[in-house]
Order: sequence, then structure tokens, then C-alpha cells
Amino acid sequence: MLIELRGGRIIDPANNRDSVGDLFIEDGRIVAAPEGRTPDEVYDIRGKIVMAGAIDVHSHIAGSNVTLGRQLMPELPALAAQDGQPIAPSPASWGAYATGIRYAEMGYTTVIEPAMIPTHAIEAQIALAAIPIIDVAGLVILGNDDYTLELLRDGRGGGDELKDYVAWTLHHSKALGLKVINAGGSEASSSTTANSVSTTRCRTTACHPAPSSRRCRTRWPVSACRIRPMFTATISASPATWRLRSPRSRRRKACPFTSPTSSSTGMATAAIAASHPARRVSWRR
Amino acid sequence: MSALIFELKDTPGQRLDLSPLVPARLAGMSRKDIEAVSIGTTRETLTVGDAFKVKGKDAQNIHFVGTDERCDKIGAELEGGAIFVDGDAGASLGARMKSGKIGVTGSAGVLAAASMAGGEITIRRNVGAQACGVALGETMGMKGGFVTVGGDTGALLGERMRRGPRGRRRQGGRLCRRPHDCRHARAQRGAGRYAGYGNRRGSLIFMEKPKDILPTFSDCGVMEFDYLRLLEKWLRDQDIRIRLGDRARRLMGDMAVLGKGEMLILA
Amino acid sequence: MRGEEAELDSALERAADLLDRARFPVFGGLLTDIGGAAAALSLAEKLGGVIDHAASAGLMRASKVMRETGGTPASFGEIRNRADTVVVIGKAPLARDPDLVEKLFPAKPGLPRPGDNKRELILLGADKAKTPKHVSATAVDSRASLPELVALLAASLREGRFDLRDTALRAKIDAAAARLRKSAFAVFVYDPAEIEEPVMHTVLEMVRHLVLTTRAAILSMAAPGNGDGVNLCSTWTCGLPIRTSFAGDVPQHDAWAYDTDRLLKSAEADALVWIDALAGDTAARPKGAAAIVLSANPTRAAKDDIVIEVASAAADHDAALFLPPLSGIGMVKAGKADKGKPTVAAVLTRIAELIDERRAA
Repeated sequence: MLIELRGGRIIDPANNRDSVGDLFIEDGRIVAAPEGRTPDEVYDIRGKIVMAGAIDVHSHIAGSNVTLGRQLMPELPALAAQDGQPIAPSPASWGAYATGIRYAEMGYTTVIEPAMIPTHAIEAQIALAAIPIIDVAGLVILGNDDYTLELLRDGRGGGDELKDYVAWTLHHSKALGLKVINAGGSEASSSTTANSVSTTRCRTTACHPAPSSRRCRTRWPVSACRIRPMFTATISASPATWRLRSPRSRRRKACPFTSPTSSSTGMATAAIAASHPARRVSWRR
Repeated sequence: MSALIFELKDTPGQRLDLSPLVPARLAGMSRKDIEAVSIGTTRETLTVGDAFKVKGKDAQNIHFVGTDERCDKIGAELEGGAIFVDGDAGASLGARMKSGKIGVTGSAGVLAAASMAGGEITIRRNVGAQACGVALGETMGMKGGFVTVGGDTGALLGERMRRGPRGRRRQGGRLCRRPHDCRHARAQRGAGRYAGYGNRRGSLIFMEKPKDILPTFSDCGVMEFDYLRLLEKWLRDQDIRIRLGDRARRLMGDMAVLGKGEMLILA
Repeated sequence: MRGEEAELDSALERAADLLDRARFPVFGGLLTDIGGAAAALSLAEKLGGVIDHAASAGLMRASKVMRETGGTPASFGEIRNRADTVVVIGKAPLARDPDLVEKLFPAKPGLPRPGDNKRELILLGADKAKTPKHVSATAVDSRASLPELVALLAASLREGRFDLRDTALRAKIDAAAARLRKSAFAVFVYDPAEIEEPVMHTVLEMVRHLVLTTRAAILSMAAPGNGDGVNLCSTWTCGLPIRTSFAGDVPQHDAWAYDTDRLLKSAEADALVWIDALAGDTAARPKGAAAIVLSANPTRAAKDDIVIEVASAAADHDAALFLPPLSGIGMVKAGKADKGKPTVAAVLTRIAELIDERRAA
């Protein structure tokens, strides 16, 4: 089928073009103006712009975290509309259907959800599929899950096992790519709840004194935990600095999560620690 | 100027959303425009003119006559003016209202005065569950204003309430309230189970000992409270005559949470 | 329809007629997979109707508490592997999942967990009769009601002053609270269908108190009948949970108003689409209003209903459902795929097409 877009302003920087003209499409590709053929469909787009569709590589449009946001604050679009945002003051304004329409209105043709949790990939893919018009895909998160951390910790990060696991995860979650968010950071310093510094660090028994000691579980007062975000970034940056900053770290060894493979930027995010089921590992050294 | 009167013609076939019928939104509208306002809640359109006989003029003083429990959101988000209901009211009476007065001769449905911020509501008979509770989209319940209920209240009265005195004459329902930072008192005769569950602050005043007092309300003994005399006088100024006396048994709670509130059971 | 099965096409035509004329239809039951839920949402939106689920009561409470104060949920796997103290509140969690304790307390430990405490189960308001032998369990049970027991535990946890005449209960409560204070990771398990919002808020207050010094979270039991799945589908589609009406310009959620039983009893709803098509689960069609019943169990319909026999999700076809061990949506493969019966999604989509034809005419 030959389609003609007639009379629009074609903006194509890659080909040094910014002029009014006609565009022809056949079998899903842009083709040169055909000689002697009548288009099957003609669209009069005078006064409109023709451009390559924008790609948003990082937009939270689907998945368990996005749905959680909608559950927590269905009134958010109404508040945004009150603030002057040009959206309808309805909870539906950030539902799947509205997302596709609004992105298309803004000239986007591809949007990538950057935070698919492996165990929730199906939920994310189903919610992505509910978004109309635009092309969508997701990036799957690894690096905060037990299995990856275990491989890194045991020094098996360079081998095939980790590569296979990453490949398996990418394939089965039907992800476009991999997302790593401060790998190990949240495990090293805190977990999803506030002030849990003590307990998750306990799991890094390589860093702690004898497990039977109650000193394993450092009890942080609330004020100390306010500096936790800084603490997290520091862990990733340099083991030496971490040792220096930690008030009770006198006897601790370097954090094992500062291997070169871990990401060194960003704050710990509230990733749900997806436990790898039934993995029996000798943890304690 | 005569009040603007809406007389319900018949029991509506669908629930009515009467939130457009408040002084702020009706001011300056012609009779014809008012009758064209849509108040239905299904795809079958229903206008004011379909459901009500409209009389009078003064949009600052609105009367509903013959309304029943399908008439929802009367006075919702009210900001000034007065609404008088000669009949019953449905759900969300005066929800999120900021100022003004609402009076109901009959009963009101669920979520009456939900997330109310100011003004006054007087309901002569009963209210449904979750009165003075949380309106959708809010995180807190009633946070100001004054509500008087002559009859019974339903379950979860005053859920997540912050402020605003609430007087109630008769029986209350279960699990009375979880106020967040409530400063004002209310006088209640009798209450359902677990009055004050989750109470952080504020005072609950009972004229009769409630049944099933939570064990996490700590008995402090009988004390004298000058404050009760002041409250009695203040209530009299609002036309509410209740004898409070000046002695009450004080129970501190709910110790399960912050527990800086109290229950006063008049001696 | 006199209780006899009609030809599928004839039934679909009659269903389309009924719904096309309906002023305010309600889509209830919704015991179906995510595909069925999405089709029901789409048709409800077309018709300006209401969607509700048979297990709404608990879902609405959980939803309300989440909007008011959020929550601190932990995934099932995280609890199983890391929690050292699990408090099961009430009888409903174990009634809903009799293997719950086995699942949360595997006989052989999986991943390493924080702290050195021996794992412990505390049953609040239930007895420990059926607890597996390898699990160290204490039951805090008495004639006191569940709301009282939760309040008492919370008060004892905060070491607030209160009196309790029942000294035996006091001792058990204090012991449980002491254990919670010593925990490395305490988790409270409850069923929102069993405890009301104020009690849930008190549980969350306990979590907030504990996280000042240690780690704590909650596990809210999943609703039966894929209720959580349907609720999530509704949320990502229109931004609102179930018990939402599509009659107006914008979808409106109202947990009290858009309750199937109430709508039918008051005759505000004039048509019902009852969906009961999930393997291993069923819900009886409530009385009232002309109904279209999409069921994998046709015998459960009333005499005058338009009955359409459909495939059972997860039995007759692969289904996306909320799976509690994932704390999310997963795919379940069909037992033995039966391609003979249409899916809920296919039926609802076809009815929508027939309604479009009628409206175009």
C-alpha cells in the first residue's frame, strides 16, 4: 500500500532538510516519490510537521512500581492539573491508555520503561501492551538480586555463570536491555524500609565480627540514618572512604560490593530485593 | 429574596450528584441554566430540571425539600452560604467543605462531613458510617468545622480526624475514629465497640460509659476538669444544651499508638 | 432463558441487546484472568458501567489504607528467606492458605538472613494446632478480640503504660513484644478481609515504631479469585482500583457506592455481567437484575439468566494471574487446554463488537 503525506513541513536534520513537501511510505518504509503511481491513501497535512518520532529512553510508564504510584496517589493528576499541567484532572490521565495518547500527541513513537523487576516482568509487559499507539519496551533490573550479588561476592562475577544469568533474565523478561541501579548499594547500606542499615549489613558477614555477637546488629539512631544516602554513594565510590565514614567500622573490611562491576553512581533505589528461590549457599566464612 | 428551593419530584432512578448545587457555583445563574445542570451518575442524562422543581432566587441560601438517601454530595466543597435540607441526604454530605452552614432535618448517608475543613453541619437524625472520615483523594479525615448529630452514628465515626468538635447524642458504631491530631472534644452518649481505637491525640467525651473500652486506654482515675464547664458554656452558645458537670473519669490512650489523647467519661 | 443453554451466537446477541439497553450495568464477580479483566474494563468503559470484584471487601480496605498512609510491604520471597519473626494476625491468613507457615518457614534454610535469632512464629488471635514441628511458635490467643490483641501488642511494643487484668495474656503479649523489639526483621501477616482499617493502621504503626531501630514490614494476604490481579489491571488501565464507575467524563471510584450487592439490592444497577471463570475458585451470582453469566460452571446461574459457558482460566487456557509467592502477576499454564470453549476476553470483546454494530445502525 502506498501512502502519501501531502504538504507537510518535513524536518529531517540527518538529511539537511527543513522544507514543505510530500512524503511517501510503502510497506512500512519511507520511499522516494514514485513515478506514475497513484497513492492508495493520501493525507493532507498542510500546516503540520513531519519528523522522526521522538524516543523517550527512560520514562516510568508501566510495571509494579508505576502501578504502586497510582495506588498510592490516584489524586496526583488532579493536583498536577491544579498546578497548571496541561492534563485532565482525572486518575485516568496517568493510566496506560492516556499514556499512549499523550506521548503520541507530543510526537513520541517509542517509550522505554527503565525499571522492570525480573519477577514482575510479566506484569510490566502486560501493562506495556495496554499502552496504545506508541512502541514500548522495558529494561530489566539486575544487580540488587541475591544471585547476582552472590556471584560477585564469591568472585565468580567474571565467569560464564553471571553472563548466562543475565542473558537468561533478558531473554525471559523480554527486555530490550539491562538496567543496573547502584548494584549492591541498597543491600550494602539499607533495604526498602527506612533505617534498616543494621540488618542488611549484617548479611555481609565478611565485614562483621563473629556472628554470635549482638554487636552484629548495629542499632542506628534516627539521626544517623539521615546521612544514609550519602553513605550509600560513598560505599560505591571507594572502600577506603567507606571505612573512614562509618562510625562503627573500625574492624570492618572493605565492602565486597565495591567490585568494578558495580555501578558507582546514583542513590540506592527502593528496589524490591527479589530473592532467588531455594539457593543453598554456604555464606559464612 | 427568597431562598433557592429544589423540591425533589420523585425518587430518582439513579443516584444524584448534587455537588454543582452550591452557592459559589449557582451565583448569577438563570433559572433555565440551573435547570440544565447535569446531576446524573449514569449514562442516562439527568438534569436538575428533570429531578427537581426549582423555585426562588437566592443562591446564597439553598433549600432542598423532599430529598432522600440517593441525593449525594449535597454541600460538597461548600465555600460560604447556607444549605438547608428538609428531608434526608445521601452520601458525602458537606464533604471537603471549607465554610458555610448545612442543616439536615432527616438523616445523612455515609461519609458525611468527610475531610471537612470548616463551617458547620447539623444533622437532626442519624448519619451513616465513616462520618467525619476520609474523602477519596485525601489522607486525613475531618480537620475543622463543627458537626452535630442528633441521632445515631454508624461505624468508623471520625476516622483519621484531625480537628473540629463533633457532638453526638446517641449510639455510635464500631471502631470509633483514629484521629491524627485532634484538639477538640465531643459529647457522646454511648458508643459502639472500641471507641478511640488508634487515637493519637484529642479528647473523646462520653456521657455514658462506652461498652468494650479498649484495654489500651489507661485509667487515670476520676478528676475535676474546669475545661468541662467551659465546654458546656461554649456548647450552650452553639445552642446545644448538655449537662457536662465538672468531674469525669479520665482514660489516657490509645497507648497502642502515640497515646496522647484521652477519653473522659462523665461521672 | 429457561436455564437451558442457548447457542453461543444467540446468547451473545441477547447479551448485546440487554447491555445496549442498560442504563447502569455492573460487571461483578470478575473471577477471571488479566485478559478477562481488561476486556471487562473496556466494555464497562464503553457502556458507562461499574466494575467490581467478588473479593472487594478486603481489597477496598487495603486500598484505602495504602492511599492514606502507604505501607511497608515485603515480598514473599524476602520474608521466607530473611524474616526472623513472623506475626500472623488472626485466623484468616492460615484459613486462606493452610500451607502458609510451611512456605514462610522452609525446613531447610535458603539464603542467609540478618541477625542470629532463631526464627520464630507468633500467632496472634489463632492457635498453633497445625504448626509444623520444626517451627518455633507461640500463640497469643484469648477471649480478647483481634482488634484488642493488636492494640495490646502495639501498646506493649511501645512500652506504654496500660493495665490488663488477664495476667496470663499480659505475659504472652509482653513476651511477643519483647521478641519483636529484639528482631532483626519482623513481619506482620494479615488478611485485609479480616481486620478493619483502624486495626491495619495500628499494625502499620507497629512497623513504623520498629523501623526506628530495626527492619520490619507487612505481608497483606492476597485476595481470592485473582482479586489483586484484577485490581492491578484496573489501576494501570484507568488509574483507579475496582469499584469504579465509567458513567461520567472521568472514571470515579467509590468503595461504598459501587458495590455489586448494594447496587443490585437498591436497583440502581439494571444489568449484571457476572464472571465466574477461574480454576479452583467460584462465587455465587448475587440476586437481582437481569444477568449475563459468563461461567465455567453453568449450573450456578439463575433461571432467567443469559448463560454463556466459557473456558476456565488456568484450567482450560494459560492465564496471567496474581500469584502470592511472586507478590505479583505470573503466567499459569493450563492443565489441559480446552480450545472448545471461548475465553471470557473473547466473549466480552465479541459483545462489544455487537453493541458497536447496534449503535452504528
